[in-house]
Amino acid sequence: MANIGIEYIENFAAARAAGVVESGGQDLTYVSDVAEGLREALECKGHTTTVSWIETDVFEVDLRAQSLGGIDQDVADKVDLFLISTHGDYDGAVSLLYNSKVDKFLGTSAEWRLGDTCALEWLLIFGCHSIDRDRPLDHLHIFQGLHLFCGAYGDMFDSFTIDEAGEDVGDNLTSCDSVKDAWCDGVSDWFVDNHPAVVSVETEATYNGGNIDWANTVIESDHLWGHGTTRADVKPDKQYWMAVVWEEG
Amino acid sequence: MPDTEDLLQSLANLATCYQPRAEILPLDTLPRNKLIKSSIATAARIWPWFDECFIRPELVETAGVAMFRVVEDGRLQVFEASGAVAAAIVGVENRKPLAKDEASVYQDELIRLTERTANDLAESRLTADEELRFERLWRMKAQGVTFNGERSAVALLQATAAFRRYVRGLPVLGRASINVTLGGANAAVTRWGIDWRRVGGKAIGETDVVEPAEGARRALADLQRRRPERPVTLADFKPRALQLGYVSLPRRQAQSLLEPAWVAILDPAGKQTSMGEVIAVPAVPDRSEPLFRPWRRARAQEGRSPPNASAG
Repeated sequence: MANIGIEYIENFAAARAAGVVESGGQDLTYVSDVAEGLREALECKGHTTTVSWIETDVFEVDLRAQSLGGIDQDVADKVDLFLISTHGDYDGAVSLLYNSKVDKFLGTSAEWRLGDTCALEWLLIFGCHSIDRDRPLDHLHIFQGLHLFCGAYGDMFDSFTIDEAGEDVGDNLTSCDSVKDAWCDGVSDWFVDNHPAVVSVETEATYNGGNIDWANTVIESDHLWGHGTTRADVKPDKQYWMAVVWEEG
Repeated sequence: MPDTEDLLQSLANLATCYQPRAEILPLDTLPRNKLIKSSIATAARIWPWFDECFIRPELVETAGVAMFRVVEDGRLQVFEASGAVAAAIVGVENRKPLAKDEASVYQDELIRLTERTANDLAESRLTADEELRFERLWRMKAQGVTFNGERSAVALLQATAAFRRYVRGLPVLGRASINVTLGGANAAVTRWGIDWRRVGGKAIGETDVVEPAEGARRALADLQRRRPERPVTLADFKPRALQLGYVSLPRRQAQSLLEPAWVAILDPAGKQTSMGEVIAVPAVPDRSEPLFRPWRRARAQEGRSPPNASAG
């Protein structure tokens, strides 16, 4: 069974007071339900939550590589599946907003190296614009054994219609959906556009000169432990191309 | 410099479906056994091979959701509080793209292919006062990029059509009333969902509906609460929609009435660290608080010590 990590922030008063964001950075309403819903859905199927931090206890260093001064080996890169819910923005790398300055109010994916300890397979970010679907190679350095990075290529919504998105993702994950499908379906209410996107690294075998064998790619066929086939890590020496999947309406 | 009044006017000007009065309708949920039986019958309409011989009840039932396992890695979920139903078949064949090159697919054809299924799903639910309208087609796409920058064609993996229910001319807002997903090389129906709370009899009353400006004011009052330090303006959010309708709460939530509500949708303005907002407020004169608040309790408590090892 999988080890789960969840972190979420709904209150950003300290970040706003520090002048980190000129506009935006508003308090959120429903993302706690998203994270707690995912936790409940997975725990009731026998998975274990081993990392759980909220609000001012969520730190930027939790995702930052140990080699770059972070503590990912004790938090995000200690579990199999890690969800963080907060505000995001993208400018060559994703910035995540935190409400405590340990070490920074804004974390950057430029400092993430995930899966290098053979732990984290799936990174989930419920927040705006964490993936550049047009430039997936920008995310390559993150994949040190990580299987999938599930996020959004545009705005996500803090909406009553996504209140149960965490449970939906969790139910999907434990019902034989691939992780990609579990994410894209679970965070979609088919009402507002949540821009779900997923990125992976793949081996040469499935590229097939551009005529991609999608059904056998990691992005299409990777499942949560115990609920279908979990694909092997694609370590840097086996990486050949990157796949990006997104949903648009 | 934009001010709060500009934001309010911009939002109010987007109002759709406004009518000065609307009915309040009672909702009815089938008993669990009837609901499950009806959901299985619905599934058999969509997938003729689907009957009780193939399904297996899930032993672990969570939060009022009855889950049944189906062949081909499939499932049927029945949401007891709302009567919503969701189903999926996610076998290997359905992991193949609808089209390896999205340019070869006509959108109108995809919509046409989903409409029959949507009508089948709605048929036993539609009353004389209701109609089902196509709303939007969502497409899941994929592309590969090699490390030397070579790009594959954009593949179309799945397409999901969303349909909206209207009751006496007002949309039932929230999750799509019906969604139908096509996938696999044969464009098979791979997923579908119904979020359709049944009206349980005649209207229990009629109410005045507050005008769009008041609906916008109520929604923005809730938004302001989320960033109290200074007035929220057009520099913060760009209004996308203000719709009058009935609201269907999330699928695991019970609900006894359909009452008119204003639903505001706002996008973050410009480039900033923010999220979009969807705010639903009552459209009746005497209540203005948002319609639905989160209900779960955090399982973690604050009080973590910062790590010593960070490099700063």
